[in-house]
Amino acid sequence: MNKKLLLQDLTDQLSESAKLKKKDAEEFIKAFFKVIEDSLFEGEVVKIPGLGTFKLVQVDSRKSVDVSTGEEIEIKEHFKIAFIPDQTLKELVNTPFSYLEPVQLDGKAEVSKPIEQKRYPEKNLIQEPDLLEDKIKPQTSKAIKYESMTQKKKDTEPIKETENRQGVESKKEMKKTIPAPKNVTKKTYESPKPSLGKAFWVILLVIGISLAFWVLWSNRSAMNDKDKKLNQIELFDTTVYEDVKPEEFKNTIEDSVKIEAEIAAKVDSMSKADKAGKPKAEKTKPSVKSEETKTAVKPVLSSNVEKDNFPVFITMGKGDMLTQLSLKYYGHKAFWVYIYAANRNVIADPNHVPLGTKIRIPKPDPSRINANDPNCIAKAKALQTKIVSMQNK
Amino acid sequence: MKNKDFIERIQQNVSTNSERTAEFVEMTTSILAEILSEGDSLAIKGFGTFEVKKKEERISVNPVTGNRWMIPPKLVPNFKTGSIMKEKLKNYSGNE
Repeated sequence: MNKKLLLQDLTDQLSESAKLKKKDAEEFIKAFFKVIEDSLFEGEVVKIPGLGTFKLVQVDSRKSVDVSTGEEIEIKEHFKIAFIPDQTLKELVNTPFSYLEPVQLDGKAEVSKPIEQKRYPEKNLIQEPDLLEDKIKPQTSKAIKYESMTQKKKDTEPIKETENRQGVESKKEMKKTIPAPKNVTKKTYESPKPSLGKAFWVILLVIGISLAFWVLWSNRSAMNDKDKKLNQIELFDTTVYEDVKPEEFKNTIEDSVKIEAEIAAKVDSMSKADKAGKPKAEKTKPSVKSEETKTAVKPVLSSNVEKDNFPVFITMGKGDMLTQLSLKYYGHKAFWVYIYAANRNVIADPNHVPLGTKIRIPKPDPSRINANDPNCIAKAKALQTKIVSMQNK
Repeated sequence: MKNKDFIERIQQNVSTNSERTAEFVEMTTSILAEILSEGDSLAIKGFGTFEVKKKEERISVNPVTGNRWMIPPKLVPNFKTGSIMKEKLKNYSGNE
């Protein structure tokens, strides 16, 4: 192994196996390589079966640095001998490793992921300058446009929904909370399109929604009634065990859309009042405001919406049980059924919730969850027996 | 260049045993292959060196599917041009 053999060794072996005189063998070997060399210099490709192919390959001139002096020198274009080993020789040489085969590794390469994540902030940055331009355009038409945008939004909803799937939230809640993630995705999807008109629409939508949430957030107390209504619907939806009718979905969506539209109208009237007061600052002030709200609202927004609808998020620890959580948050063990109802998509068996399961505990509805009301407890217990019977089936 | 032409040309350069040239060529290549398969290297003065190189294992990613593959190490026959030959090549400027 790893011996360095010379021409001498080759001729020895050849003379032995061919029963040749050493002198003749040497002559032959020398002729062998001389012919290869000569043929190469004649511009031919020399193919020797069982060994491989020799050919001359041109190397372009390139600049380099003299190692000792550090001066720049140019290496002239020249030729080099390329040797492509024969398949049989390759296999012969590789016999020690021939049993090895390429193995597919688990998991995908991480290369693609960071690129995807990068895309979002970049596009947002690109959009920023457009935003200012669009602000100069008349604001009065905004409300109307916004309303038609919400129509458009509804159309795209089924597709977006699947894209926006995120862990714990069930489909029903998804529909309600959808405006938050959607305004992000929508923006990123549409923004690459060059048409100014579309970009304008998308930006309007984004501004409208972010303003809507800004107002929703700041006027939360004022909106409380509507929130409650939403919550009731939500609780109703999740506590009904039969398949929920599609009309109910529509109602809830339309509700939320209506609320948004109202907010948008409010915001518009606000900004109009602003304009009336200071006609000169008209251009700069609203734009600054919207940018502020945009940045301020976005981080708040998601958690905010969740807070309104379902106050507590919990990761199941060791020994945690739904009944205990119910006792802790609702004041009575029987109300675990409502927690289960809100998390049916992540909990397969209410008697055995796997460790680390993220569940959310919905805001208690006083008409259903009231530890002091025996009727509520009775209802919850009735549900409990129903669930248990369903589990046993 | 075909093998037949190659053998013919060797015959022109060899004084004796010209009938058995084809046989000798085959023997020479098989001896060379054997040397290489044992992991030895063979240096021919004025021509170059035949040797075996080990290519390390690596992880390759299919750019389309994103699947990762472990490519095992392998031994590859390699030819290094000798210095005399390199000198000759420097002064050679193609023959087309």
